[in-house]
Amino acid sequence: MLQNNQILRYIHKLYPAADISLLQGFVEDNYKREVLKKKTLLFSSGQSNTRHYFVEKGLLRLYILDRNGREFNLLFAKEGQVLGDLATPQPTAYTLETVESSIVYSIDEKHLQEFSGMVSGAANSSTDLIRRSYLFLQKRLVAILSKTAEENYLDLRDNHPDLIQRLPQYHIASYLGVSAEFLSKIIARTAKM
Amino acid sequence: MKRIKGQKGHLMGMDYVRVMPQPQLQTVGSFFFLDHFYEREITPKELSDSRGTGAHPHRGITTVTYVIKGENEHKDSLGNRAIVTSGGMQWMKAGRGIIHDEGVPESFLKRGGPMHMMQFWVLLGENEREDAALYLPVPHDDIPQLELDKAGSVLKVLIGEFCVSKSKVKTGKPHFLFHLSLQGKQVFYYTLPENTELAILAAKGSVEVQNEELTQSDLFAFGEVDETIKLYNPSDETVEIMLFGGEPFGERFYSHGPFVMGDREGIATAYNDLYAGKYGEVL
Repeated sequence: MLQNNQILRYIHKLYPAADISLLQGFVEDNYKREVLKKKTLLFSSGQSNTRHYFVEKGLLRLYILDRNGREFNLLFAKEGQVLGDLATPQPTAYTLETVESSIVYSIDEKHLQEFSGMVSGAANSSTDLIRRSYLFLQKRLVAILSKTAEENYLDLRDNHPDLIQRLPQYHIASYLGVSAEFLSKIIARTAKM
Repeated sequence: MKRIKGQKGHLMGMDYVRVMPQPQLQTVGSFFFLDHFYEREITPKELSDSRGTGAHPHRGITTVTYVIKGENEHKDSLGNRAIVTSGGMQWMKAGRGIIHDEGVPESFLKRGGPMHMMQFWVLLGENEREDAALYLPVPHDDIPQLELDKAGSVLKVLIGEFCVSKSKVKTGKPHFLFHLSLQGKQVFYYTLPENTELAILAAKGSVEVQNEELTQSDLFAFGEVDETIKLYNPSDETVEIMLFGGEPFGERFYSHGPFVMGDREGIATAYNDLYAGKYGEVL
């Protein structure tokens, strides 16, 4: 049952002590499965009560708009990863969109909290998940503020080559905070001919 | 930036432009030769005039036939035989000698249709000229491609590497061949890596390169430049563009007919080996 069900496998990792049939019921009752086209908006800046999204297939991006209306990609999520705004149900500052045709499972904060209250040890798992998300965001923040765009590009290229292969070039430029022209210079400087 | 205009010709029932070599442009990286069979609707009657090149030898080069639209059939003296369709590439390293025959497959000959292809010759360095011949058909699905902009422009990496996209074709001297499908009103920036020469061919439609118009079948060649090259499609239609080049070839070579060798003696050896039957035959 676990092998063919990515979302269940993910939930099981979060709550290893919980009974599988309980977890399965929880997924069936509370998660919404959606098959989405490329460039589908999942939530946008200003919206309240945004959901948490688990990616079964495809690629999502979380971005903000700067004061000039330019998009700045903050985070991506591919198969097996989760993306959303931890501040939910407060209005979000982010926009979440599919980069590719995707299959996602989503849940709102209220049901996630209710479930955590029901399962023994769930509070620890939730705290651990929030801690890991915080550390991930902190690392990204440090990278944005202290590393050059070229260093961030090399980090992406060398540690996530599958992601860089799947992302359109304009999304890579937006993730690095550079123009398409500057990205071409970085690619040339770091080329391995 | 040099502007190169080719000469028109007719082969295999198709019109083409011999873009390279020209007196003012011998090589771009290791690229030495380019015939551009620009896009045309070909009737079965036209094709029946001449359906293939006939069996002929090569030595000292790699031939690269890229089919943007249509079909191309390859047969060679190693016993290889394959058809590639739209978006695919026939790659053949002639090494120390091979005989091949390229043409329009029988099935395409009967129905006709749009054809758009090109053939490049890439020089082999001295250390590769005596390698055994090698053939690789590369279908469209095996060619890595990157999406570039919101409008959906795409860069296909036929040979070489761009960003993390890498061609399955293994080369000796570093060189690259990219196909850029640039959507209307879109810009693509290309910065040359160090020690690199570049050529840009407008394969279908016109494109502005560094604010100068490049029309179909014409080519701009760049030596080593520091600046980033800007390509802009001012029209609403998609334009097809080829970018190719690599490290300057930097070796002496001598070409005669289908052979490119290091000197005249090499050419004589190539012909002697051909007459001695050393390249085999296409069955």
